[in-house]
Amino acid sequence: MTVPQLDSVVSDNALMEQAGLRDAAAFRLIVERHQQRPYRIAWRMLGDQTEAEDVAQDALLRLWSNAPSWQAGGSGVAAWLTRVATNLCLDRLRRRRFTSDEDVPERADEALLADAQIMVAERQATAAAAIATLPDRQRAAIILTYYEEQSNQVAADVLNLNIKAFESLLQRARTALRSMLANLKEDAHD
Amino acid sequence: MTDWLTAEQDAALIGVGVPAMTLSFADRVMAALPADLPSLPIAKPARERRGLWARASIALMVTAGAGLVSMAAASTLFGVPIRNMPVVGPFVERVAPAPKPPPLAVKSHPKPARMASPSASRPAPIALPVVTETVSQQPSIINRRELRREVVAQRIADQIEQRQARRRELGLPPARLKLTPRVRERLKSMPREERRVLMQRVREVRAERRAAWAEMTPEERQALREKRAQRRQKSQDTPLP
Repeated sequence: MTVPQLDSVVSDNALMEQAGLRDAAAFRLIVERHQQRPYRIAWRMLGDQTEAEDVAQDALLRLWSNAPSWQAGGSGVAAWLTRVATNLCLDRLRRRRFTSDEDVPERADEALLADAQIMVAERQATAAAAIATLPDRQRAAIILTYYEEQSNQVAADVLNLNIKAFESLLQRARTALRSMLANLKEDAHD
Repeated sequence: MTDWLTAEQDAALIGVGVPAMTLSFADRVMAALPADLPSLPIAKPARERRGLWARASIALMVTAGAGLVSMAAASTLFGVPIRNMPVVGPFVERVAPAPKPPPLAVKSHPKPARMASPSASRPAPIALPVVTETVSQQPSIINRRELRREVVAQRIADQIEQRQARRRELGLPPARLKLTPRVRERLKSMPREERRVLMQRVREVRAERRAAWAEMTPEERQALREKRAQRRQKSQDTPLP
């Protein structure tokens, strides 16, 4: 299990080296390999597919720009894209707060509204609304640790926090989310 | 399942899915890449792109410079150029002297007279050509002098005329000219030394008259004015000899 992961890191570094020499084909492999992660983070942070794709594209273009100075042996392309995409989302949310008084848009429920799945869809919509209600950095902490399964240390690095501050932030986020999902539990019992 | 969520909460959060990306996302990213084209071949420096005329002028300047440098080097670095080349001519002449050519007819000039040297030990002074003829004044100098004289005479005449005009404006009677044109012509025709003596005498007479005028009584002055007027009248009537 370890060897393929190591091969993947080395392969990323080799591709980045080629991309640094302005090899578009090598960079396309990087895009196809890592485009999902920034998009997922952006979608969960922003709740909008178009904006999420814009963030993912922006992160990948920055990766292309930084390819000539890419240093192998770092945290890897995925971690780099995670950090950049998260900060791009936080920037967008900050700008959105200054430019608009509207709340974060409700996410569209893309699940099929079959009668059998109505309850599940409602739960997922409630969970999505709960995540969207969280403050930006708490939401980022939840997304990085819960959905992207990053360690606290990596998530702290992404958010430019020390580990203690991040753990405090994560604790507050979990408490808020749990309290918002408490009704869901009661509904489920009902 | 996480320890901080119930199973239902965990299921609800996990169920929040992410919609699939657009299929052409990768193509869009690649199309949006900045146009980082491969580096162009190294451009030739401007020196190599110069025209033919520029190259020719540079070649000419280089050749001329090289020539100057070689000349300077030949005269400085390599010392005095070799003048006495070993040739066989003198040896041949020593063995079989060639007949001397007849002396050429040289145009004889009279040698300038030399001054007698005061002593034999002293070096002989340089013989200077002795001017035997008196150099007459060159016409150009005479013409310039006459021209200057004319200019000065004209200037004096202008000043006299201005003075008379000023007196007329002030309502004064015209002053008697000290030098009438006729007298001036006479003075001009006189030799220079004679004219100088005459003018000196005129100045002395004027000084004596001014001194005598200062000592006169008003009656004597009036009598003198009348006498002068009569004399002036006579002089105007009688032409000068």
